[in-house]
Amino acid sequence: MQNRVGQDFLPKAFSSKNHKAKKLQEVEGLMFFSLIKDNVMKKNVLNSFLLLSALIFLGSCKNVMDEHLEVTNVDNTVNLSEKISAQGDLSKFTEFLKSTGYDRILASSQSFTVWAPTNAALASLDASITADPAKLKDFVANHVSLTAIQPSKGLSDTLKVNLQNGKFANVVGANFEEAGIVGNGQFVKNGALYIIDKAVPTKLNVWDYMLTSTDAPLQTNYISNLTGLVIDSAKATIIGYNSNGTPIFAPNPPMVTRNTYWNSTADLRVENQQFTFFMIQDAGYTAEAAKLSLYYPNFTQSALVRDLAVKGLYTVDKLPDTLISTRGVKIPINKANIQKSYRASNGIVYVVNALPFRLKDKVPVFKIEGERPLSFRSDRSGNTLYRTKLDNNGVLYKDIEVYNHGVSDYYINYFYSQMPVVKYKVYARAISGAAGDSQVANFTQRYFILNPTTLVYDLFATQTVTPLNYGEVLLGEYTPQQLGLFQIRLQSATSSSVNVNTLILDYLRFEPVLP
Amino acid sequence: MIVYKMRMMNFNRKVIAIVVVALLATGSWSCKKDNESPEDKVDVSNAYRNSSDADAAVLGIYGQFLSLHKTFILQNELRADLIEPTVNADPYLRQLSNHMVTKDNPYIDPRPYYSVILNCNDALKNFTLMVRDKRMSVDDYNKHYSDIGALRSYIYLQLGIQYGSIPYITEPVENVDDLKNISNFPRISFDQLLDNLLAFTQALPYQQVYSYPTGYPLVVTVDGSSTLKMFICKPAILGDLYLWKNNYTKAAENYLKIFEVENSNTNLNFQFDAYKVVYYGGSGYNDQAVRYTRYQDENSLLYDQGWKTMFSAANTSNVWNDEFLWGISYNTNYKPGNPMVELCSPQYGKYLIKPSQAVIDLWNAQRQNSGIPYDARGKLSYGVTTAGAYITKLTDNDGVVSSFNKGGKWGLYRAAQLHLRYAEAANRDGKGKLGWAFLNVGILNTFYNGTRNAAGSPAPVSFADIASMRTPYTAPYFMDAVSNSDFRGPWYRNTGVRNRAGVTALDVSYQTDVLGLEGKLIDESALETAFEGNRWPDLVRIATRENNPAFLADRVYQKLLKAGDPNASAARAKLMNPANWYLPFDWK
Repeated sequence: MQNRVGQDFLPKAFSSKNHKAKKLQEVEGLMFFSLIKDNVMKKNVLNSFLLLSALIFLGSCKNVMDEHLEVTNVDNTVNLSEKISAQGDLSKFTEFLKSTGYDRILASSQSFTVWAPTNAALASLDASITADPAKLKDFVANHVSLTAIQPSKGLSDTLKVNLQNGKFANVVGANFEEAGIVGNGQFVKNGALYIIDKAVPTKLNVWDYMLTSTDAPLQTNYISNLTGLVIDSAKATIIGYNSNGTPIFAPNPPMVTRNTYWNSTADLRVENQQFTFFMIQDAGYTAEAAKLSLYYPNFTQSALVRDLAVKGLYTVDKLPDTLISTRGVKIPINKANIQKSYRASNGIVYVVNALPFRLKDKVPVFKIEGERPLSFRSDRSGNTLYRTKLDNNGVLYKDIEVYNHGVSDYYINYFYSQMPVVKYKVYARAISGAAGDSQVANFTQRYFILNPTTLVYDLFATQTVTPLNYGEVLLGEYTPQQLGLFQIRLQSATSSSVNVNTLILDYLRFEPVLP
Repeated sequence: MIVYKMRMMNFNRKVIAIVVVALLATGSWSCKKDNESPEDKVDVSNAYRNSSDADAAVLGIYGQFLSLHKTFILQNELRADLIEPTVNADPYLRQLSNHMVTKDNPYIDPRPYYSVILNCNDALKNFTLMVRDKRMSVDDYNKHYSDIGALRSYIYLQLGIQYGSIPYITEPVENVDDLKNISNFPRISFDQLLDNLLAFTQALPYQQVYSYPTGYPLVVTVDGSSTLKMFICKPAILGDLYLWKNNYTKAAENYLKIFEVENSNTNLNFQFDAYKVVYYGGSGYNDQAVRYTRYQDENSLLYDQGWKTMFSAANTSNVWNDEFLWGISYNTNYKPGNPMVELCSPQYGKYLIKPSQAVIDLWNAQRQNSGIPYDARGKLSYGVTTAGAYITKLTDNDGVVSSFNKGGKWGLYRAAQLHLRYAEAANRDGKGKLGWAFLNVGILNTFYNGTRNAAGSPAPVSFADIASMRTPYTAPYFMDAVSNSDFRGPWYRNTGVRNRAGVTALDVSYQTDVLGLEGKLIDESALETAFEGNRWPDLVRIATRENNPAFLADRVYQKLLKAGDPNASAARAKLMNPANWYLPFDWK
């Protein structure tokens, strides 16, 4: 009997009764596969592979991972609670642990890391914390993490540690937040203990800081009142689902208030992200609002505050001259305007006396892309082409063409929300007759804009599209009546003939005419 | 008598089925280092008694030939510039890719090739004995002998391309000790090898396109796959050998034989569509074109119709049969299964190889007639996941590939490849315009210079107009693409490789630029037949013919450069010396 396929090579010893052991060895073997690969003949790969892995398993020498995780200085006879209470210099902290019940938690069998401030460090602790049991518990929790943390290997070794109160601490080199770590870590059976030279009171997050701060009352007042009621889906009773799969709630469901700023701009409460946030003192705030009032009637403050948050942490030394807001608008930074800053648990807050946005950033040029329609007059998807082409300069563009659809006055609807009130120059780019395009004759298409008062689409412009015109064509000037939803319709000729009722649009570009 | 015949046929079918199963089951050749015969092979004294035994031997050899699939693709593609190793690949695959192979590299072992060759030799000798002893008819002998003989030539050609100087052994080696001495056999140069292969192959007694005609016991449909084209196409290998020897007219003659093989088929779709690279005419027979439901709209590219189905459809389908002239199916129920799944699939395999950035760039540099700025054959040949691009062409299958379905086919030769090689011969033979036509827009569009209707379509009004629908050459370059209300020439649907794929035609100046067009034909071979195992042979053939090592070296260099391989420059320098194109022939 010759050996044929791989499985037949399995030595008898590794058959089913040793199944579990074999599994283990295989896993072990996998790690060393690359080592043995070089000197093992292919035929015998499986044989040698199992044999070698068994040897390695038995020999079980050290690997890099083991060394990395290796812990010295371990005392497996005591737990953290005992370890802390046994040290005279931590008696004050021990007292806190007892009064908050954390002594029992730190005696449990999970793994923790405790950064314990010395008695000297706690001497200067704000009395309001020690006086309030809830605050004290939060203070203690701000020094405890539910995981055993190894000592830093280098000065720039950075860890972000989730603390027991939900905040995140930065452990950089031998520092725990602003406190320095004294001596080496001490390891006991349920975790690690580091002694620090400074108490680390819980920091507010950006949102809470803004609410408690009195630095920019107008802004704070506006943002904090952007509340709306939403159904509390966790508590509401679901009585069914509609055809889209969204739940139907029982009548009068419980409601909760939500701040719309969390959704529209940034949720400044979340601890696991970082933000840079600007608060404008009242005078500056009023000045900025006045600049915008013309373009955002009735929504001036909304237009102002929505560009005050930036993703990421930019400390003063790292502040560039321009930041980009969460909504993509440029924020001009002048360090001289910064009155004050607060290092929050999830970022940094700058209080400024002015934040002079450029008007052209706040009232920007925008485009409506042809290939991103809102809706159509009727279903002509078989004639609707979402095209990808190269223009005369070899630049890729995407557009839409509805060709040979056979519908007179066929139209495509487009929309743009929150369009600032200003006079616009409106340009269109529509390219016909390029490679593959059957539309080589001139044709006309029209643009209608919805009049929000009469609710009728008024003719705005008529465009004659000539073949291979890669440039923008000025359609005309337009000033919206009011701020809000802008709806525009691209409509074909009143004809059902092919090559006459074609629609083509790369994009519409709206250029505000600013002072 | 009829009943007896029927029973014989049934019996033969059973024999074939059993042998196929048995051989596929033993197909784990890559695990073997030695050359002992498979244990389920009958003893030599009883092996060759009648024609059915000969059939079984043929099937057995093809079953073993399948085990070369993986080596064949790795050597012909990974060494060239269209495939590169993934992060999962072992160092040996990397060596193959950047031309730094060490002697212990398992992918350069020539012995698997010889184990098939020695079995061919054995069968050839026994076929001769059988016909001598009247155990087999002369007609059966001619077919079996020519089939296995041509297959052996094909394997030798591959060996020559990869190893250069090799031992050319045509006699059986019956005992194991002799086998060990193969390394002592005299080696002949690649050029001498080509001479020997040509002399042998052109003298084979049966030279038809199909090794065994329909109705022959070996031609059956087993488990949903037909065996008609599982056997080598002799004019194709013969044409290739002539092309390697720069004998262009003879190469074209042989290729033409394949083009014309279905010309008298009463099924018009076969008559006009088979092997002729035609435009899509609304039927499954000619559904090999890149197609969109909505022209100009890239999102409407068809994956389950058109170009991609040439690779995914069953080998009993019309789309496959009008394109492929040689391909072997894997059965999902039997081992070994398609080895390309292991190599290419990130989901069901180990994902060891992937399309190179060089080939992706090449596809993206093409323009479609519809204005879409890339060649859709790229999208239809590879997919993209977060882990990177992965080859789909080699694992395409009519059933969805899964952990339990590793079927598929080894597609060895197909019409587009044949057209490009024929065009290469025509171009070198002073028929650059014909070569250009095959590459770009087809015969009718290229040669017609008569009256056209308002829509621009040919509308001949005179004999001169009609005459321009034929190529103005004699055989083997005469082609009739006449199309009017009275008559249709066999080539009237021919549309050119690029036009079938919807990409724009090259400039007509290439019709008179021999070297320029030759380069473009090889580029097209990459675009059209990427990953199928043609690239390294293409590069070696042209670089040799043009005496221009940079033709090969620069392409490999570009691949390595784009992949960030630190050995890119070293590999280029090495490949500038043609002696380094060949793998070490090392008999361990």
